[in-house]
Amino acid sequence: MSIHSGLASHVEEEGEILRRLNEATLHFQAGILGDTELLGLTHKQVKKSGKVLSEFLQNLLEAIDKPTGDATITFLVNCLRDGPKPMEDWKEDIHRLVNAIKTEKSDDANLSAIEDILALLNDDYSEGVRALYYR
Amino acid sequence: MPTFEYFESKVIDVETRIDWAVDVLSGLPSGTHPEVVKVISQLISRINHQVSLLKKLLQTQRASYLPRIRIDYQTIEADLEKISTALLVPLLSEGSKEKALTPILSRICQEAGLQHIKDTLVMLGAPPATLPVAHECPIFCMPYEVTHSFRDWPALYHEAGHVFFSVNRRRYLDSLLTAIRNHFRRIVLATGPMAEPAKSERLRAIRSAENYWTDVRVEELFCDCFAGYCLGLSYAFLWTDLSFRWYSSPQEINLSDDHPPPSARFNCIWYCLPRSLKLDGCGQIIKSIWDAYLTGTVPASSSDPLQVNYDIACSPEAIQTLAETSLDILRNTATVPQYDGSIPTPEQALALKPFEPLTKLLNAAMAVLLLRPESYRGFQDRLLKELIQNQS
Repeated sequence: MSIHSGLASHVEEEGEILRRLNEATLHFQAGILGDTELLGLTHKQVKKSGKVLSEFLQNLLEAIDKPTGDATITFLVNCLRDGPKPMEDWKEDIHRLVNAIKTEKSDDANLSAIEDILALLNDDYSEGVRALYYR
Repeated sequence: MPTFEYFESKVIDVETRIDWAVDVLSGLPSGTHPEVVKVISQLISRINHQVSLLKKLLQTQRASYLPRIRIDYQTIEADLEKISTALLVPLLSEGSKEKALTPILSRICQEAGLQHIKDTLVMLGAPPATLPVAHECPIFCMPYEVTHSFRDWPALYHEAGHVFFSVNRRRYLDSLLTAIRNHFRRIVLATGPMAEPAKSERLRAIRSAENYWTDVRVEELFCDCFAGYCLGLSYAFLWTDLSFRWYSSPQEINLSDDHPPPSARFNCIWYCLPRSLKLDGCGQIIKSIWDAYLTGTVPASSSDPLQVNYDIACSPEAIQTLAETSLDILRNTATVPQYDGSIPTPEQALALKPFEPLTKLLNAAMAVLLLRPESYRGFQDRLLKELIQNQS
């Protein structure tokens, strides 16, 4: 059996999550930078982006302490655990971002936690796409 | 990070390729696999939407948007790759052989309880695989020789398992991953008092074993259960053969392979078989072939502390946990039938007609090959010819 089948589903699902989070980050960022009109975004879209990001980050925080059946979240928790940055620092950064989103007091700089998480997800997604189409 | 100029150029390149895909689609004869065409059209519209946003982002010239632009561009390229490699290649290479096999694949899907499947698309010239990209029309890859040999046909039931899994992937993964995580948590709790550093080492080994079971590996093992459940011994026989062909260390854990090791897969398949099939004459032969194969192979090694330990990751209890959870999923899905019939004797097999269930035909083919090999060639030639003619 070729590798295609299970990997194709994994890549498909991971790609959807990556797209959703990247879009939410963009919309949220555009809100902070005052670019919503230029990008043709509505206030509702910006508001929704904060909700998407904070829900995802909350799930990630919960999974750090309690294992989950969500494959993407589990993958990210493993990456965070195996990386050089201490887990306590990750938790603190994620907490800070979630609070900033909730209180709508975020600035461009403190998006670094979600930027790093997106980069981890994107690395794995790119590896999957490469394995599917370039082997 | 590439510059705005680079992405501006790439947008032009992307637009050219979208136009090409649109041209190809408009040149297809009407009625060509509408489900696959629909998926391609949806991907094209998604890319168009992303390109339009990308152009606006590029106009801002804000460096803080570059990471967003990069991911957008990468996902656009992945969609284009999927269109050209995974979807258009099988669509454009479909000839008379592929068309003759399509109804048989649809029959496999129906018999395996995949009632949502309305159409299938076959691509010859590749190892057995499926791309469950179009919900109601999976794409099945098969080697050319399937028209002349039954050897790889049982693998299509594993592939049908992927199609089944894709319908409720998140739910099934949640059940399987939770079950395996709970299994390893029990192992941690059962670890008795130990002195450091042995304790840390033991906990590290358990964590590596737990992390080994990614979503892709868990899905692969589920599909083995699915095939063993639907097809019975014929699938277990394929696994002994595949292991002979490809593996000299069936217990070796290869982290670059998204499939679990062959021993774990065979044990899982065997666990899923009904007792009557394990006790069948062919079942006994397959088990003895497997045991003989194992005695001639390299056993699992756990000396490298950086390696995932097979005895922990694929212990009988871990495999049983995944097999039981998979069987629960299948038993709770009323549409998926279990193969629990008897294996035809060679005499019965030689008299079978192509309209019999494919599961029966494949188990009959295995019985003739194992019990009356001198009749196999004639049996296979006749049945495959009738099977393909009967469908076209």
